[in-house]
Amino acid sequence: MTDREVTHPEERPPGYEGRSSTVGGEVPETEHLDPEHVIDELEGIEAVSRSFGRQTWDRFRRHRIALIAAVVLFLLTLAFVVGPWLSPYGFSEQDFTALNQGPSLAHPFGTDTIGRDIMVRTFQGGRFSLRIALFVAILTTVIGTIVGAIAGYFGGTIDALLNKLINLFLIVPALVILLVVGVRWGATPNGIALLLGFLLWPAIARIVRGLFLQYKEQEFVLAARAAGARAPRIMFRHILPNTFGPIVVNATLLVGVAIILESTLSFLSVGVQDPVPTLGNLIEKAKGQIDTKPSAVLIPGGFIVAITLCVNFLGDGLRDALDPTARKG
Amino acid sequence: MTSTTPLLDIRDLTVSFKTDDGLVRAVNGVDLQMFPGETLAVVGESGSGKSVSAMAVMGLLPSYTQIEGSVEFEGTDLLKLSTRAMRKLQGNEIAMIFQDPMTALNPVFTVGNQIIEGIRIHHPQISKQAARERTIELLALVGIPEPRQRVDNYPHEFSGGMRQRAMIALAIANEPKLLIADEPTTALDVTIQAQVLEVMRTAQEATGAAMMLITHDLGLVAGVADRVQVMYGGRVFEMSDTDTIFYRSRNPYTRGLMTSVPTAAARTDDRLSPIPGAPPSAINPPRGCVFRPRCQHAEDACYEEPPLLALDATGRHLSRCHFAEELPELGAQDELGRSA
Amino acid sequence: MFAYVVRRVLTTIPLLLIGTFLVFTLTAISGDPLARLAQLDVDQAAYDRLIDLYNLDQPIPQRYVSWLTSAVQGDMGPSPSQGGQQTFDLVLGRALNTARLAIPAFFIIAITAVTLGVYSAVKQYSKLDYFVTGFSFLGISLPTFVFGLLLQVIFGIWWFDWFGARPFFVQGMRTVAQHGWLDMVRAHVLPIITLWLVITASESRFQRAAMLEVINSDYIRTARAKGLPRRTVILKHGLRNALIPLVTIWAIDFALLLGGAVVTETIFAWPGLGRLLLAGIFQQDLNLTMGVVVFIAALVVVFNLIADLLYGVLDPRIRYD
Repeated sequence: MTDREVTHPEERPPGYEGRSSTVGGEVPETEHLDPEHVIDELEGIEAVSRSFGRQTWDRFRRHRIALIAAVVLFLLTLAFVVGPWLSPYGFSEQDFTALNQGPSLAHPFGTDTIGRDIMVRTFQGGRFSLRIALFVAILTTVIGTIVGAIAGYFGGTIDALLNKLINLFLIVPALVILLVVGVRWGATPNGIALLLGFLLWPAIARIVRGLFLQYKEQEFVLAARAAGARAPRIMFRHILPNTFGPIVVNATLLVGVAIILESTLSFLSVGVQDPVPTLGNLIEKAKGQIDTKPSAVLIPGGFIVAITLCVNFLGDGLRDALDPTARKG
Repeated sequence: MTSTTPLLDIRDLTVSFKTDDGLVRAVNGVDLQMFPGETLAVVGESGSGKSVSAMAVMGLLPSYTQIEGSVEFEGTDLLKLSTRAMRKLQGNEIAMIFQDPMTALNPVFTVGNQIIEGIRIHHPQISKQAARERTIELLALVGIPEPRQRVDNYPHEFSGGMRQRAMIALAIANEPKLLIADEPTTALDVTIQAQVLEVMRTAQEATGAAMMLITHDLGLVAGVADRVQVMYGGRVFEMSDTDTIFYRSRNPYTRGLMTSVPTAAARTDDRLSPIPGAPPSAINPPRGCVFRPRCQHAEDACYEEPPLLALDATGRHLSRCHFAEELPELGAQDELGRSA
Repeated sequence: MFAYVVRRVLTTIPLLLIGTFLVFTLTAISGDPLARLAQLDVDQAAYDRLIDLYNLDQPIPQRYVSWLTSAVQGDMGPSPSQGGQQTFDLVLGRALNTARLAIPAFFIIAITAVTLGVYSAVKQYSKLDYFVTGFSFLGISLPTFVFGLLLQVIFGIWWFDWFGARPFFVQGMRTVAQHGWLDMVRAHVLPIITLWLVITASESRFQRAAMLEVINSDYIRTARAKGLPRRTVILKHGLRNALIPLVTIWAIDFALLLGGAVVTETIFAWPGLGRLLLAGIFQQDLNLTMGVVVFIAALVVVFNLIADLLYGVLDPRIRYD
């Protein structure tokens, strides 16, 4: 026995200490836990998140279509912002010598029935459409996140009300309500954006609610609660950062939904009214002449599809990057 | 070990998966033999390659995996069989019991119909009624009360232990020659585990099948297995009969397993001491011996040269360790461990 | 089961009341029918009679209550914008026209969505999978009205320019009784394709996700380990489970299809419910708007109930008691 190799505890590889005590042997006395200290320790997770950001970027970059979509979206936005500014025509400026023309050098997309340049109207329309969509996405996300967080974390009445509201929108489809109210209040870009925002937020609220419901039982939240952190602090410092990925993804996808809804309403003459152009009402104006001048329908239509495609691909890439567990395969 | 011709003969099996981070070699040159009617325990931590080896035998690995080596079952190489020919063996000659009985049964079909389907796919000449009678017998055999009523129940109407019994009934329905049980009791309550093990033994006796019991729990093995094969990092680390493994193990990893598992430790009256560190990366395995970073006995040689799986003087005990012969006797180490 | 159905219907009643009141109020305050009346050249007596007929001088809640009282007795009131025809008859007639598109569209959508979804899930990462994914992205990104107009341009203009004929009608409905089989089909094709693309795109994506989840489940592995043929594993064990979550989607989609496709009907000049709703809204015809809304709401309630019951048939874990 004396000559045999003896391994002393101090010679054991690092990482060994402390482990045996949790499995068997003597349990060390629990140290006094200072609540603030525990919370700070939990927030130390943020130090790791820098490499999370790096990983996110790597995953996103691998998603080549999303990257292309982001670039195209940027170029489109740039064109919508700079285009009307570079154009020699104003978007509501009429030229009575050039009524209802096809594409020409002076008017590359042609002119409409009252002599307005369709190209500048298309770019300006894209600008209004994008502005409305962004406004809707932000409004919806803010309202949806707040309501969803409260409903998911506290449950109870607010949760029940949210549930009822979602069911209500199932029975009376949002499009019907939009049509009814859009006639009167949807005629301006801000009006339609507010209407869409107020009707779309339950979708976000439902997602955020689900996430909060899931996270509120997780150990880091329980630990924070045990350490005495108050509900608002837990909700916004501990849970919200974890729901960031899905929220950003859905906010992105909402831009696409908003563009489609806004242009559809405008197409049905329920949305933004002339002379303010949006991609939707340009098509509405041009559809009567679809036989003779299909380009006036197809060009704004193409822009709508380009934006929504890019937004959807971008959202998909962001989902892969920010929320890798969300998709299987 | 009733016969000398192996029922299952795995030679130099290597299984690799392509991932975003590189080629993962889950199984790395594994040899394994099983003889008719015997029980072989394949023991190792998660990631040791034990389950992947079993899936390779069952032909259940996804098509994008690269499989090399040979898996001979009664003399035919399963890796060379067509899917159609392989299907004739699956559930018929070779059957498998999975880890999680809660999810292993299809929730939308009755337990009985799932077993009947398993019988009739291989024996279409058996009538539905006869297959149903056989199923009821099987359910009775695995200890399900009132099998005649229970046969029409859906999986969710069964408890976890009952579902695993039903899985066993399904596995033995066609009297397979080889039964692979992949962690069959891990997902169950401790109180149920012993019962299910007992049912498996009954099932094995009723069919005369050889059983490969895959587990991470050495303690489970003692009363059940004839032989034990210990795996680590996709490689075989030690193989011998159960008594030899328990009382005369020649491998530091096996010894670590024994002292880290509560049931095994209780058996050897040892104190618990987990193996430090984590299983090796399958993408970048450590140099030399894969167990070296966690081994208490590691020396320079272990860093330089990966040890081979070597036979000892008795010719019945394989161990992959440079110092297999120099390791202290188990009993002695026990006392040292206690005094340390 | 019967008790469950009754309870389900009863619990939707408050929602129906709130929903109809909401739409009633919003429609009522969105426009002023009196202003429109004033523009018309009617004598005072007729003016007063109209106000009296539609209770226009009463506060909105009171008008809602009197509308509701008639509605629950089956009287949806006359529709002033449609020459005073009974709303109930109008809605019913138009619903049949909508159903001509909705029913074939629903079945084509269901079949193609399931097929595409299952195939792309089974052959994950294959060319076909990428094609289906690309197709669904396009379908989700393409607004119905853009796609419909594109079809009109292709088949109404370009095709005519190239081949000198129009294979399909781009405007209006044709029936077998009046125009024969061939023209009936030619009129239905483009609207149905329009409805098909957008809904199929989202349904096939959903089906793919559901199928992928099922394929990777333990019980599929068990089915394979039994030695079942691939077909049986995928169709019997896989699809059966993957269809369960799709039932709800089907119910909603079918209800909305039957409730009228506002955009598609507008583009193809189809005299369906969607255009009736638009007419009601634009002409501030409260009875007509409410008639269509109640019809849509009833469809959604009924189809959701059917979906719930189907759920119970497909999934033995669900019980109604």
